[in-house]
Amino acid sequence: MDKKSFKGYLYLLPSIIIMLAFTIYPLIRAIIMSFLGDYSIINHGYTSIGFENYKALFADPDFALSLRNTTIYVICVVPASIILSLIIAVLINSCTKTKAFFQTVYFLPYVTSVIAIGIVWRWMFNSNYGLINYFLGLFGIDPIPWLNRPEYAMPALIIFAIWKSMAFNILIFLAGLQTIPEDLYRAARIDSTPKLRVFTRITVPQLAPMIVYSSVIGMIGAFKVYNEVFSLFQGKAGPANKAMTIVYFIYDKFYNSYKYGVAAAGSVVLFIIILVMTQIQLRVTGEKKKK
Amino acid sequence: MSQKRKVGNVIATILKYAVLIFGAIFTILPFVWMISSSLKTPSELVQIPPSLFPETPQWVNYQEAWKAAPFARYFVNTLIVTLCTTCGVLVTTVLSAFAFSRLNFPGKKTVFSLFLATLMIPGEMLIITNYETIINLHWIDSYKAMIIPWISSAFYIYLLTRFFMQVPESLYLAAKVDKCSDFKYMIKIMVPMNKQAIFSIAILNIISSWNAFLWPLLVTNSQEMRVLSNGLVRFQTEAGSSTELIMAASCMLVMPIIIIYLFLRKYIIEGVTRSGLKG
Amino acid sequence: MDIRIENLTKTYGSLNAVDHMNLRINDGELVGLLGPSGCGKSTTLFMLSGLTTPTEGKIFFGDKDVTSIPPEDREIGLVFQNYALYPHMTVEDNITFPLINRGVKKAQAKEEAFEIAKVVKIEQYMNRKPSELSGGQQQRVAIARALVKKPQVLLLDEPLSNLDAKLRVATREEIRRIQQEVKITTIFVTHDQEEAMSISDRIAVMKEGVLQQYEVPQTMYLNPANEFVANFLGTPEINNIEVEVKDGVISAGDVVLRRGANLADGHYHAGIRPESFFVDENGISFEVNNLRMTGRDLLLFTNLGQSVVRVLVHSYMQVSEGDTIKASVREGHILVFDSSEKLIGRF
Repeated sequence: MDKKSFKGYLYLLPSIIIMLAFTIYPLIRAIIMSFLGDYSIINHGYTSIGFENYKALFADPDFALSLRNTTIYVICVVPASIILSLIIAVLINSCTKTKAFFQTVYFLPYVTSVIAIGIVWRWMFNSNYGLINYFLGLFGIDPIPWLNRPEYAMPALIIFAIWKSMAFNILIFLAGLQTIPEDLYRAARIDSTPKLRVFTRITVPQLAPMIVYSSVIGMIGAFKVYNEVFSLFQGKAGPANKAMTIVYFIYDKFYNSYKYGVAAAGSVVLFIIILVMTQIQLRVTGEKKKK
Repeated sequence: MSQKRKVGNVIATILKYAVLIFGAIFTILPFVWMISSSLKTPSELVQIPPSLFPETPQWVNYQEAWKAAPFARYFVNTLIVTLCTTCGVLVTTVLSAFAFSRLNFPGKKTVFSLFLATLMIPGEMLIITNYETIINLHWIDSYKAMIIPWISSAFYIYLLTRFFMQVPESLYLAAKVDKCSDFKYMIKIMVPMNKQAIFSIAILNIISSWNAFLWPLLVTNSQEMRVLSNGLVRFQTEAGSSTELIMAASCMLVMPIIIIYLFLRKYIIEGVTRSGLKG
Repeated sequence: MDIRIENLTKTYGSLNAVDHMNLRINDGELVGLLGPSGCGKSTTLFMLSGLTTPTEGKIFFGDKDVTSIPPEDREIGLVFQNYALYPHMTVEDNITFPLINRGVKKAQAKEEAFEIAKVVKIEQYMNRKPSELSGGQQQRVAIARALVKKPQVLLLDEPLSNLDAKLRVATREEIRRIQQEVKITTIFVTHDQEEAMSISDRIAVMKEGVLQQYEVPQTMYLNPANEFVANFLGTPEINNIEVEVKDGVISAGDVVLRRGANLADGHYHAGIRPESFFVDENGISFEVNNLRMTGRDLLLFTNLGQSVVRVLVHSYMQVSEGDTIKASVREGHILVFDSSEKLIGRF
């Protein structure tokens, strides 16, 4: 039975075909395309070969804006979501009877369509009849034109994104909390450790691998944000495209402006960013494992 | 002293539940608001202060939304795409995971690493070329276009391979001794032993297919082929200010998954946790 | 600090994990809570620590009723079965942790930690992580962490169960030494009777939540309160024999074991320890069915009446299978139990 045979490939065949056709080939092609100019039918050749697309990409103010917005988005959404999720997860974990109930409720956003719920958020952000402005009004705050003014577009997007991303983080942290031995908490109790110190000195360090994992997954997700923008701003990238993100930029160049080369160059940049993130994650989790 | 501590504990518990309940309300508010808005009259919608529940639920909104756009058609399309994709994913995932976990073939490690490496590629990067491919294959506006590219997932293969690896090798050897073929072993032993993991993968895939948005939007043109999420966005543009109808349509997209979730949350939560803690 | 347990009871549903237990532990004593798994010994320890709340009964530390005092205010040190060291902290951080919780200054805490580390002999490992230490060393770190806050009582839950056989003997001596040095009232839980007997000042044997006997080890071994205690203590196990008493003669089947016993006529359970036999020309004849060399002793398997009986003799005695030896039972070493399994006399 140790005899190697090619039979294994028979089992892999469907997956390999799909992967070659829809993952490997497009990856290579996107990279090649990013170095080629537009195809000219007259000359039967490409108008340019080289870094022209990348030059165009980095000269494009929309791309700079999308990088800026994505960075702001990452900086605001990821830490806020992680800190809030951590607090909620620890609180849920300390419940006994209501634990399953809270877990079910808090996970709900994860399974729902971003498109549909984005439309609901759009309605809640409505300047005149929206629920959010109504609540703010109760505290004497004037109605905010969330979706119509560029300066409020990003905050609206960030609130929606935090709401959406907490579900996954809470779940991961809850799972992580289960793996912390109960005896550590008992020992801490015998040692009369204040609750806050238990949290900072035992819970957080013990959860460190999950926190790193959630951060990286959150960052990767944040760099790829698109559906949230599309649904919240009804297919636009916010008022005057001020909530432009990297992926929105790529699709816009490719689907609306037919600038395939620039879109490909943008996607290669995205790929590199995500590759770096993944490497960081592998490095960190790998080191943990060695220990 | 212990009296003081007791008071402190009570306050801490109240505070804890206050935070949890506030967070829970924040979490489900959009859902509640969606349902409540979908049952309101246009004047109730713009009423200040807003009412949490409509005076008389306007079920007619659903009828109207259903009639205003071919949602029945969208619904069927979504169902077809979701079910076909999920069946495809299950078949390719089980076959591949079995090959990686039990069969011995040249280049196995390399192929497996290659599969793993594809997990790092953002799908957003591939869409440009894949769209061209679909055009070149003349698949635009067909179920094929929405299904075929998604019937294999390196991620689920990786996940299930890990589950299959946990089945003791000795079972495989015992089956070999009993003259059980590889394929039969896979169907009779591996699949039933890991049915919970396979079920979790199926549900996770159903949810992601159901909620898929961008790809179906790109590869379909005609109204007949549209799926719910695309139909909803189109309807939102067409229906303009009929918010109650838009909310009713959103409900139609969201509710089936929420119902599945409420019934099968154990599998979903476990599936996401397992795949989340893969490191 | 002496400890008094009064009517201590813990019920889980309909199960009495600990059933109306009464116990008095003198200041500075080392007491072993002994019993098979599920006998309630760990529950008792956890009630002493305050981590488990009793259903009924009271616990006194000295004159103070601590029953409703939470664990953090009981001034106890607790060593967990798996040590529960904080894996991400160094040994020093682990030991100073309880002190810093109490607002001790860092420098002061380090100094005290070093003092206690010297007592348990781990001062050279202060900068290591728990995972870089052996099981025995981790155990000592856990003890140091428990002792550093100078508790009134030290509680240990199965302190040796995670160690291999050789280390277990060395570590139990260590525990005894540390306990004597610090002079702290100590209670430890174990299911190993040898462990309990070798280091305890007193042993409390429990069965199904009920305290069976509380005694000095030697007394308990020689005078077990009942058949359960007799069976639980000693290796090889005590021989259980059905005996008949008639006119003061104790016999097993046709074999007369003792004459002139002051016992009412009837059938009884009796227990004779394997080492209670001695070779005697005028004794009972035993046919050796089987034998096992254990090193210092030779364990013979023979028959007495209907029962298989184990007899321990010196290992230099020349016997082989099928031989017949003659032996008697030492005076006072036949333990006779009544129908409720209570010891009624030694003959």
